[in-house]
Amino acid sequence: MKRETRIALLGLLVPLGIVILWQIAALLQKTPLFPGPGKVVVAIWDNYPVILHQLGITLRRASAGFAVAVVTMIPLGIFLGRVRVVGKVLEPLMDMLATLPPPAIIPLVMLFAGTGDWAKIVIIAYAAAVPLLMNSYEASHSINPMLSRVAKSLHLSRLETMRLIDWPSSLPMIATGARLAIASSLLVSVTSEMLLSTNGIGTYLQRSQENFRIDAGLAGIAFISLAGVLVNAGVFRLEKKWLFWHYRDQRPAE
Amino acid sequence: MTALLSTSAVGKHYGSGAARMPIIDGLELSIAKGEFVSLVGPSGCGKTTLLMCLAGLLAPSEGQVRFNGQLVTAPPIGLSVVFQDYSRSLLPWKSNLDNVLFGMRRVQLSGPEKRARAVEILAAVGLSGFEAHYPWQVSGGMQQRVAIARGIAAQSQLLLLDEPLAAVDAQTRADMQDLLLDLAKRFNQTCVLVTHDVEEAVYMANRVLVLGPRPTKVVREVIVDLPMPRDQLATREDPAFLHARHEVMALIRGMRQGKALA
Amino acid sequence: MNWAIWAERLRVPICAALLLGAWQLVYALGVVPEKYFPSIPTIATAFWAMLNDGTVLSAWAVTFGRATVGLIGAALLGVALAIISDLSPVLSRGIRYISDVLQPIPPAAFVPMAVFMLGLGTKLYAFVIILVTIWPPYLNGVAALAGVGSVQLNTGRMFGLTNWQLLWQVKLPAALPEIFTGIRYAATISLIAVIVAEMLAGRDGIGFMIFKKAFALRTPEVFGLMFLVGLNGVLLNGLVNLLRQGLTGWHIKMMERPE
Repeated sequence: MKRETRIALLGLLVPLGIVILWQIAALLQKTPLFPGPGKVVVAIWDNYPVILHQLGITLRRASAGFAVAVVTMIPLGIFLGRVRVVGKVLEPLMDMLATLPPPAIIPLVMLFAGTGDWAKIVIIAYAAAVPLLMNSYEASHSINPMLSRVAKSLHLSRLETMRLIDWPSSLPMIATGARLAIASSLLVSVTSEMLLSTNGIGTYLQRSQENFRIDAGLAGIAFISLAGVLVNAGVFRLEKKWLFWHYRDQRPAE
Repeated sequence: MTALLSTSAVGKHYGSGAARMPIIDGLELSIAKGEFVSLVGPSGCGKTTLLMCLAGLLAPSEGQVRFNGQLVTAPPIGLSVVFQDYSRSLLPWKSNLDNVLFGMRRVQLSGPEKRARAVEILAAVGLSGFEAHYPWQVSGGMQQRVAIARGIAAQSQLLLLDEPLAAVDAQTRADMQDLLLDLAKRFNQTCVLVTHDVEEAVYMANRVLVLGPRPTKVVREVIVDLPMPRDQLATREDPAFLHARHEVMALIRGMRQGKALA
Repeated sequence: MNWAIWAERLRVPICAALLLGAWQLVYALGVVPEKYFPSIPTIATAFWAMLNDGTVLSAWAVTFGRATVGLIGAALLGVALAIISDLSPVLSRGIRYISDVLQPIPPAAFVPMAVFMLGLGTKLYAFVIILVTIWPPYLNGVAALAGVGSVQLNTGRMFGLTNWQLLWQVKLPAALPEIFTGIRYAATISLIAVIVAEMLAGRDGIGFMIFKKAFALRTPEVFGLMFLVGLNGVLLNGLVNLLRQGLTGWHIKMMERPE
């Protein structure tokens, strides 16, 4: 067996060990408020249609908020980065936005917009906005001066420079911002549902707790985790595909 | 004359079976106290692997390395390596003085004595006044001098120099060659210099060992019959220098052509 | 472009003026009912009143304390996990499986599930904060320890360092700057986790207070508390930076030196 495969398999013993310890602890506790992994698996089987339905609602909202942030914040960030003076002067405002944790605006948005879909989309968009704005701003104002010189020496027009040099070279950093924004959207999407209960996986978790069905709640969490893992894997593949030149092995061949 | 460093039939390979990649095979060498020996060879012949084996940083697959008669299984006291990559071999979170003191961990002296010794050696490499600077605050040539000072300070008898001057500019390089020769004499250092620069190999050494292509071993010994101290102008124009240089260069060119034909 | 230099120098007052000006303009135009969009003086007065009756200060202390202690615990545990991962490839892989699974879960999701077992006190906060905050220091630590150069390691070995000494004297100092990048990110997460947990656990702290005031339609107080939440972020970042200066000052100076 190859060394890599052996490590991957032996590594599985660590989570397995934790699951076993958890099961033993749960058996000793003998309370439905501390279900073991066995109970959670049963709960997954019993509840997966409901969970998937609710998770779908959550993911749709998260995507909508994320999309709003992408459409508005990437252009704004690039604009602020290109028009140096405006960007530099407004930096303190951006920093201020960055220090306010997104969930803190949930009560405020509730006051303005109630607890409906739009309120939540606004909250999610705000959460995704900060990393997208910061990273596209950073990316567009810190383009390698060498590349600008290359553009000049090739007599590229303003538009060609933006399309062929500026955009691709700031893409890796914007992608990093997008990755943070996706994580943030998912987080705030679930949180807002828990606080402003209507529907979605967050609300489902709250209901499970209110009915003392911790096993069902943990089943829901398992699906949130799965969704996160899948989304991350997808983003990772897209990055490898589009930004392979950035992630290339930096070591020169011997 | 007893050998300070010697090897018997040292071999080193990576992998096994079909993927077995021999780097060194049947290498014999013997370095006596007080010598300055250069190791040159065609590029990619495994010089750095050899150096790691000599320093006890890499275990040879076959054969033995002996330092002062003792079998080398770990880096022995009294043997210091000066790496080519000075910027990475110095610890950036320590000042120049602390980097030298780091090299003196195994030296049996009291704290103040160590300090005094470190300051003295830094002065000998021309870095008085830069003790409190960090390595990244001084030039590349100065960084390499800190690394050399650190090697000597570790109560070293033998300095293994792994292309120590490959990354410094040409003028600094000539100065550093003379500084190294001077330090070797002042601090009684036996030196083994690994380099790909034939001129440098001949200029610095009493003896040049020419390494063959991979799997490498010593294929020829060239005695450099030139007086010490060396001089950048006079030595390089001496017929004996030109003769030795010619011999080494012809050998290495022969190997490269042989490889190209093969 | 003289004005540009001056504009940049005066950017903090300019930003403050822009923000306050825009705020007061929206207020004066009356686009949003005053109930939801109070004027700056109203907010200031309400905030001052809250400060004076003492409730805000104690809530602030509770929240900030939780975030800080949680961050310290998560940072220490995260680095410990990174060290364990550095020692054994198998354990490294095993811990990575766990972090892959737990990392995408929002802190809010843990709260209702843990409340029955851990109560509404310290145990709950420690559990939730550490479970979501530990990953950036851990992941950065693993990457940084693996990235320590072979030349540095060989240098250490050459001077007779044992593996343990190598870890403490070469690897950890070399990895610390990158670990601190993770800790800075963790500080942000820690503040989010505390606020969220307080909102959901609903007993004390700034997070709970914001919600209480929002339900009571006390908009000026909500804005004032949000300001305080932002201030927490600035303070915690300041603390982390202070520690970073102390431990990795050499790296900061190295990065700032002119080429």
